[in-house]
Formats: sequence, structure tokens, C-alpha cells
Amino acid sequence: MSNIAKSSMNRFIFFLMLGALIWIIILGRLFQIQILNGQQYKRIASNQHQVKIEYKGDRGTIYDCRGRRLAYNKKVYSLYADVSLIKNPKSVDKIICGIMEVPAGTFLSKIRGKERSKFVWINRKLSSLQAEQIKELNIPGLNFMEENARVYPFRKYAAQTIGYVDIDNNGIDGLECSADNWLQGGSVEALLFTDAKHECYPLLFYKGRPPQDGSSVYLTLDIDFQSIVEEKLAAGVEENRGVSGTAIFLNPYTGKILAMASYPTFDPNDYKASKPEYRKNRVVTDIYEPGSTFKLVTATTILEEQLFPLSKKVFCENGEYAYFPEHSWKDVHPYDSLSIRDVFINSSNIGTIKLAQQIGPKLLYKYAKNYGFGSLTEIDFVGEVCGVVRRPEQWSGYSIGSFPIGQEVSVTALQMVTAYAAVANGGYLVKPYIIDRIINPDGSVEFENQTSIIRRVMSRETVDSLICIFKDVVKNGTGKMAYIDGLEIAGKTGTAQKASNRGYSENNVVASFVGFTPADNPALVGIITVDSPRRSHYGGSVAGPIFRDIIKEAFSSYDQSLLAERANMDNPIVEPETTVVVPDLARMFKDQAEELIRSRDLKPVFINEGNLVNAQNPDNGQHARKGQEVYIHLINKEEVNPEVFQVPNVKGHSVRAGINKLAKANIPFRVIGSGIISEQKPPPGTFITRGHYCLLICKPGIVPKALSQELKIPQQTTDPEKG
Amino acid sequence: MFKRKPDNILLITALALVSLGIIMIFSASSAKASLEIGNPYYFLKNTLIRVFIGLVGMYFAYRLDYKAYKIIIPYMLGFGIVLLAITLSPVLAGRGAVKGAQRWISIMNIDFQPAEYIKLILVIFLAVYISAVKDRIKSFTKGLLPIFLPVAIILALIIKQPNYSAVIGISIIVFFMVIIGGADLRHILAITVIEGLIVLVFLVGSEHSYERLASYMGEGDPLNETYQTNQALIALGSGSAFGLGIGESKQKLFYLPEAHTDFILAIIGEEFGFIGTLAVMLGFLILTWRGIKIALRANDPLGFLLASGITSLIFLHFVINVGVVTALLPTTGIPLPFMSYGGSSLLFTLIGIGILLNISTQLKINIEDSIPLEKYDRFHIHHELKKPFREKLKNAFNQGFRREENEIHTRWRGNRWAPGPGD
Repeated sequence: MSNIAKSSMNRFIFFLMLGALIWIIILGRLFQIQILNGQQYKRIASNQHQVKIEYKGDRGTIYDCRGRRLAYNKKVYSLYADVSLIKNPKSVDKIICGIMEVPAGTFLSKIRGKERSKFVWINRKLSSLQAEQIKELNIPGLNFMEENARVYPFRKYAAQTIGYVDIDNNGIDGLECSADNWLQGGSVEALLFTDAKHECYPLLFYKGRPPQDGSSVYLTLDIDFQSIVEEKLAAGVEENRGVSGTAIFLNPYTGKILAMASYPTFDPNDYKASKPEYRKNRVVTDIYEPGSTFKLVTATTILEEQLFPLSKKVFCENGEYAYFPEHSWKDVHPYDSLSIRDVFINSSNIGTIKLAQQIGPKLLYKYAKNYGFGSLTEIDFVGEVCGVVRRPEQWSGYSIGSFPIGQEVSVTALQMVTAYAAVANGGYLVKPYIIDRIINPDGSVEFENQTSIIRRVMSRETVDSLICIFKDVVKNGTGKMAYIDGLEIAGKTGTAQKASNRGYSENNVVASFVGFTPADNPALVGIITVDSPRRSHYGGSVAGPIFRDIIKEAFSSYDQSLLAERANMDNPIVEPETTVVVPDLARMFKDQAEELIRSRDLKPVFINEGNLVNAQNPDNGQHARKGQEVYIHLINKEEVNPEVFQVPNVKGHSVRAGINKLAKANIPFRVIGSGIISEQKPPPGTFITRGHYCLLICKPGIVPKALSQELKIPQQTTDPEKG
Repeated sequence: MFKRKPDNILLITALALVSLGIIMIFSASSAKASLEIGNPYYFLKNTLIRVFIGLVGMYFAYRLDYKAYKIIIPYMLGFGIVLLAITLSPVLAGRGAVKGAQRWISIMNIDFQPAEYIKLILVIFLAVYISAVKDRIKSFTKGLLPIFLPVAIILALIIKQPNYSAVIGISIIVFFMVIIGGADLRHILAITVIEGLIVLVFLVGSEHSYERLASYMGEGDPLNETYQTNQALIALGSGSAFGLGIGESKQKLFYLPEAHTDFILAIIGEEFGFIGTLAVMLGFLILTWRGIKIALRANDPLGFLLASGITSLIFLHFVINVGVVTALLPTTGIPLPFMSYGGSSLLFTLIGIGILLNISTQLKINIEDSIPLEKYDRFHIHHELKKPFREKLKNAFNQGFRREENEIHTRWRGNRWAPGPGD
């Protein structure tokens, strides 16, 4: 070492020490990272290496009644890009946009601003041919993911009924939506390993069993018949230059819907290309004022209540009936005097109104409700509306003239056809349905729909008379255009002026025809509505021919076996009334509302805190299933300047005496039950403000018979006006 | 010609590190290679070629007497400066656009990094120069300034590339050499301040390097630089004590960029755990220890400076690389010697090892380490090996006792190794 200077040696040793120190620091750092913090980094690592993926089973297929696929899955390929690997985006854009059949520049716009992104969707659901072409180019950074695409082979036919799915195969509309729970397969969470390029590697592990496929849905729909209906409807609407049209045909005995169409329609394979209003299933989501087809209610009331003989003459005022000085009702054709029969055959508004005036609103309302107007049919569709049928106490002075001729009421086409089905099948209101059965992937039956009869609307005699009238409508009356030689059709036309903000319009009408055939042994009941036809305005000349054409075509070229299906109507089992009318809870106290709701076998659900009812759902007067929940929104209301009344004690009184006492005190009331008042809410002595109800709960007691008859204490019937 | 056996421990350690490097390069790069090039063995094949070239280079360096550098070093230095100048010319520059830096010369599709060459050459040059000027190094004008002329040219060329990590590396090595060489510390301090200022100006001026520094300070683009560092830490940390097993690294699947080059240690840590990184640490410790040992026993100042320079060059690269991987230092482009994928680094590191081996054959005769000349006799060795184990053990014992009794002790005497009391 003699050749190394002493100072050099010292410096060398200093560096040696420094080096050793650095080495120890680094070792300590490695120890810290790998041993002390190892678990923490392991967690971070597994977070970024593992990706949870939901594997869905295949979506179920939708079949028509003969087992033809209306909606099924097809394997498609979705293109995504690892933008960081794409070397020359412009040339890639030029090549693949051509293959994908999208305008040039689409690719560039999708990756713009995502230069570092490793996963950008370029185009979802390419065909296998397109995918092959792109794969052959072997462009680094372009990858495919296999997906299921929903295919609707019949395209526009029954499009609104079947509905469509979004890009992730969730049902959005129609049956795809309402039967989504069944169609959706089960899902399984899988843990995948993924690299930083989002390429997934073999499964780390599954949680649970492989995903179950969705169930198949079989419809009552017949796609052959559906196509006839849609073609004829489209032709009819176009010919009359209408805005839109709907059609439903169903089996009156079983309630099976055989065809259900709305025009204009769309292609569910590419639903985004269509206007949203074309995708609506108008037969259940759109309400219209029915016009003359609603005269069914008046006719049924007369016959069923045996109010007048059909031969009775009605003076029809020669076309203009000035019941009010400022308002008059008109007929299309002026009539001098018609028999009741001819009133309906010729669809005289004045005759119908005059009859209705004699019947009175309560009975008309009852029959309208019995026909199912104003209530949901509870068919398996999302967005069904129940229409508006106002209770007599909500009627205005004109209502008695509007209601019987189908104004001031709104119905869905489905409600109307169901009402006529009751005539066709001998007087029973059946529940229409479209899902016939649901079959699990293993072949077991998940659900099978059955005909359910809601109630008996009318007797056989009434039915026979009505059929007779409706036959004449087509033979000699307003529905002559629907006449077919050799096949008897019974039906009714409707021409409803559309209400606008300036009253009823003369030119904007909904022309409709509802009828069934063969008239004496109906196999098919159907309705055609055409919105705002321009060529002609009348239901008979616009909708009638469409109906005729459909029936003609169906009965000539179409396998009739389906049409002949009958339910056993000779001895039908009418289920006990399952619906009740929701009472009006306005201005009631919480405990009162609860009592009233419970008395009708409904279930009150209170929302918000408070002692006073603010709003309710379903609204009053609507039908609800027994046991259904009624949502009651409560508030705490302090009246600014309350007019206070003290509740008198009416406990132990007869209902009549109690009512008298309350009326004297100017307190409105509601009664539950009959007999002796056993309880009152709020209790006697309480102060309530104007407008609040007093609830009287009665128990059968010893009430003099004469008194109870005199009072006509309401019974627990289908009469919606009880309480 | 050779007086002594080369340092086998040094050789074996270096080869072990290279072998581990080959395995790890293959493990870390196969996924990337198969995806981007279509051949998982692409980087492995290249590495094997480079290792072969490196071993050939090492052999030549080993066979070349280190005293010969006294004659050839000016030419080699001149050649290096020319090479650096070429990287700046657009004609021969290789895939220069890598991260905005022109660092490579591409010859026959093999990228050559003159900066790696110049580092080694500079060490040799300084060793030759300082050992030649001897005490004149203490003078600023006559000793120190002539060194900084070529160094300044080289640094300027490298800054122009720009390759700031090389600038810093070269600066540290130059300072180390002149300090060891015995320069006046005040001169060195003055130069440090001046050079530090210059480097700082260039550093702030360049967006690329500023970003790296800023990211280390926690204010840069988190997606780019801190992302790399974080992924490296995740790789190391998830390896824990014993690792995920060979080939089981997840981070190499594109989470960790540069997995097979600068961040290979992270993959080693992930696959072999702390055991693996400890092995690498120990490998470099042994290497450094052998280098120091060679330096201290070198026959002349040139040997001492050359050996300590080369050793510190390797150690410095090792420290910077591991510092980056463990997030102790900001991200730089310094590869891990012997192990990272990259031809230039491997070639010149192995040549450096070759030079060390050459020095190790010309060490001063030290009785402690002396090997009887007859041991070089092949037959003799053969004969020795054939002796039964018990006899070998007996001989070893005898020798040990004999040494205790008779032979010269060396002892640390405050500042140097000196003969002990038995002397």
C-alpha cells in the first residue's frame, strides 16, 4: 500500500463508509417495502390485478303462441381499442370505419382525448363478418369482446308489444321490460385476473354455480295474425291519412290477446333510429275519448236494469237537442223519432242522451265501472293507464250529455275491447293477457297464465239483445262498411271529437270500430282506432273497413283453429270480487283515514309525519285489489283562521239520528258499516275545523226495521258510492 | 505473463448476476414480447447475444494488460467524443426519439449507447492521467484543469442529447476519481458549485427531466413518473418475504413499464421476495468488496485508481437504480448493472469486470495470499485434488498453524495496512 498516499487512503475509506451506509439504507428500505409493508402492497396489488365481472346467463327467448321466436340472442362482437398501442390512428380510422359502415372520422372522435386510455369502446355489436374483417387486419390495439345481441326477426311486427332492450340487454320497454325478471338470466360474480391492458386471464375463481339462463316467455300472440293486422292497419291509416292507429284482437272467452298493434311502428333491432312516440304501446298507454262505442254502457244499463223496452220511441229532436240554452247536442243525421233499438243502431247522440237522463248518472257510472272502464286491466305491460271515468259527484251539468256518448271519459283501446269481449262471451268481464306461459331453461313451467273472469257484467238476455243490436249496426247502421258477405260481424262505430283547449274539434277525431265475429258464436273480438283521419271522419268509414279487411284476410287465409278456442263459459267460475273502490281521504285525520282504508280491506301506508291527509295514491274512486297498499301522504296543517266546530256525541245513536246531529253542527261525515254508531272519530267534544270529516263506525244493532229501510243504509256491494 | 490467478469470486459473482438477469429478463419481457413483437423469446434472444458479446469483451479486457491503457486511452477518449457527437447528428442517430432523448447509435439494428462507453473510458482516462501527474493533481491549473477540459466537452455533448442521469453519474464518478486521486478539496468544492449551477440551469430548462424531478417532489404528472414508481413499489411489496414464485409476477403484465430494463429489480422482488432482492444486494456487496480488495492490493497507483473507479462506477449505477426502484430517488434512466436488458450497459460493465480481473492477476505478492508457483502446474492441481479429503484438511490445518507462528501479519495501522508485530 505504500504507493497510495495517506490522504488518498483516508478519502477512499470515507467513500467506503459512505457506500456501506448507502447499501444499508437501501437494504433497510427493501426490508421496509417487502417485509413491513408487504401485506399492504399485496392488497393494493390484488385490487389492481383482480377485476370482478358479472357473468349473466343468456336472456330468455320470446316465442309466439306457435313457438316462433320473436326475440332471441345472437353472438356479436364489440370492438374496443387500447389507444396507447395504436400507432397511426388516421389510417386505422380510414380502414375500420369503412368496415363498420360508419362515417369516416368516427374512430378518431371516439379516441380523441383518450390517448393514454387502454380501453375505449369503438363500436358495440358488430356482426361476426365485420369482426372477422377487422381481426384479419391485425391492427395492434384493436380487440373484440363477445357479447349477446338481441335479435327481433319479425322487425316491426308487434314491436311495441315485444319491446326492446338496451345495449346491456336490460329490458327497456314492452314485454322485454315487464317480463324482464324472467327473461334475465341469473348472474354470477367471477373474479378475473386482468393485466394493465384490460386483457382478462383465466378465472381465479367463481363464486357459486355458473349463471342460469333466463326463462323463455311464450305469448298468446300469433305472429301471422299480427302481421295481417299490422299490414291492414298501416294501409288503413295511410289511406285515411291518419296520424296513428291501434288495433287489438283477442279471444273473448279466454282473454288471450292474439294481435296487438300500434301504427306507426318501429324496428326494435334499431330502436334508436325511431321516434320515442312510435315505440309506445299505445293500446295500453294512450287514452282517448271513445265516442259512440261507449254507448254500450247506456245500452247495457237499459237492458240489464230492464228500464225500458227496446221498442220504446225516443224523440230525437230532429238533430239538435238544446237542453241548455247555451249548449246543445247534435246528431250527424237528424232523426225525428227512433226506437231505442234504432237509437243505438244509428248511433243517435240525442237519443242516447235523453235515455241517459232518465237513467241517471249513478247507474251509468256503475255499469261503466263494471265494464272495467277507469280501472287497470292489469295486463302484463309497463305503463298501462286506467283512463278517467269520473264519479257522479264530480260531474258537471253537461256531463249527463257527454258521458253516455263517450265524451268526458277516456279509455284505453284495451279497456274498450275487453268491454266488448264481455258482450261477445256472454256477459263476463275477462282479464286480457298476453303472456301465456313462462318456461325455465330446464323445461319446467315457471308460470302459466289462466283465464280469469273478473265479474259478470250482465245476463245472457242482455247479451243476446246487445248482439242483436250490434249485428244491425253492421248490417244496416253506421257500421255498414264493415259488412262482409257470409260472415256476420257485430260491432259498433265510434267517432270521438278530440278535445282541444277550444272545445271539441270537428275535424280532429278518433275514428274507431269495435266488434266481434262471427256474431252469434264469437271467436274474435277486436278494436281499430285511427287518430285524426283526414279523408273521412267517421268510425264506420275509416275503422270499419280496416276491421273488415283484417277479418276477411284472417278467415280466408288463416288457420282458424286458434280463433275457435273457447273457454268453458257454460258454467264459469267467477272469482269473488277482488277489487274495491278506494275511498276519498281528503281532509281526513290520520286515524280516520286508517280506519276507513282498513274497513275496505286495503292496507294504509303512511308517508311523512303529520295528522292530516294531504294526498293519496291510488286516487279516490279507483279500483284497487283487496289488500293493496294505499299510500297516504300526511302533513301537519295549521289552519290560519280556523272555523272551529265541536264534535257532538253521537255514540249509541242510530245512524240516522247521528247523521242528523252532525248535519246540524255542519260537520261532514263518513259512515262505515250499518246499525248503531259504536265509535266516532274524532271522539266527541273534540274541536275540528271546517271541512274535516267525522267518521262514524257502526255495528249492527237493534235498529227498527222500518227505520233502516227508510235510511237505505248502504250495503257492502260493488256500488262504489258506499261510505 | 500472469503472476496470479484472477479473482474467481469476482468472476463468479458477476456471472451469477448476469445469469439471474437473463432469467429475469425473460420472465419480465416474455408477455410484452409476445404481444408487441409476436415472439416471447425476442428479448431473451437479444440478451443472450449481448451476454455473449459482453463475455467476449470481458475476455479481451482481461487479457489486455491494464498498463496498456496508458498508451491507448487518448485514442479511446477521442473515439468516445466522436461517438457522442454522432448521436447528435441526425444521420446516424438511431431510434433517437425515445422519450425525447437522442442517446443511441443504431448499427446493424443493435442500439449502442455511447454514454455507457464514455463512462468507462472516462474512468480509465482519469486513472491514467492522475497516476501520471501524481502530486501535480494538487495544483489547480497544472493538475486539475486539464482533466476538466475533456470532461466538459463530454458533459456538454451528453447534456445536448439530453441524458441528465448520465451527466450526474459522470460528474459523481469524476469527482470520486479526483478526490481519490488526491486533488485539493477546495478546488473540488469550487468546481462542484459551478457545475451544480450549470446542471441546474439545464435541468430546469428541459421539460423531460424537470418532469421527473417534479414528480419525485410530488408535483409532476402522476400518471407517468409516479405511476412507474408506485407500480415498482407494488411489485416489490407484493413479493413480500418469499415472493410469488418464478414467472409469477403480475406487475410485469404491463402494469410496470420498463419491467425488463430499469425496473428489473422490482420484478425480482415480486417473484423472489425479499430473499431475491437480498441476494442481489449481497451480490453487489461481494462484487464491491472484491473490487475494493483488488484496488487496495493493486501493484501501482494506476491499478488502484482503475479498480476503485470501475468498482465505484458499478456500485454507483447499482445504487441509483435500486434507489429509483425503491422510490428513494427520482426516476432516471439508469439500468441495473449486469441484470437490466440493454446491450451497452452490459457490455461495458462486463468489460469493466474484465479490467478488474486483469488487475487482480497483477496484484502485489502478499504472503497471505501467495500461491506457490507450482500450483499453476496443471498436474500438480490434479494431484492435489486427488488427495483424500482427510489429508487435505490436515494440510490446511498445518498451513494455518504455520502461518500463525511464522508468517507476516498485516494489521490496520490507523491509515494503512502495515506489517504486524510478527514482522
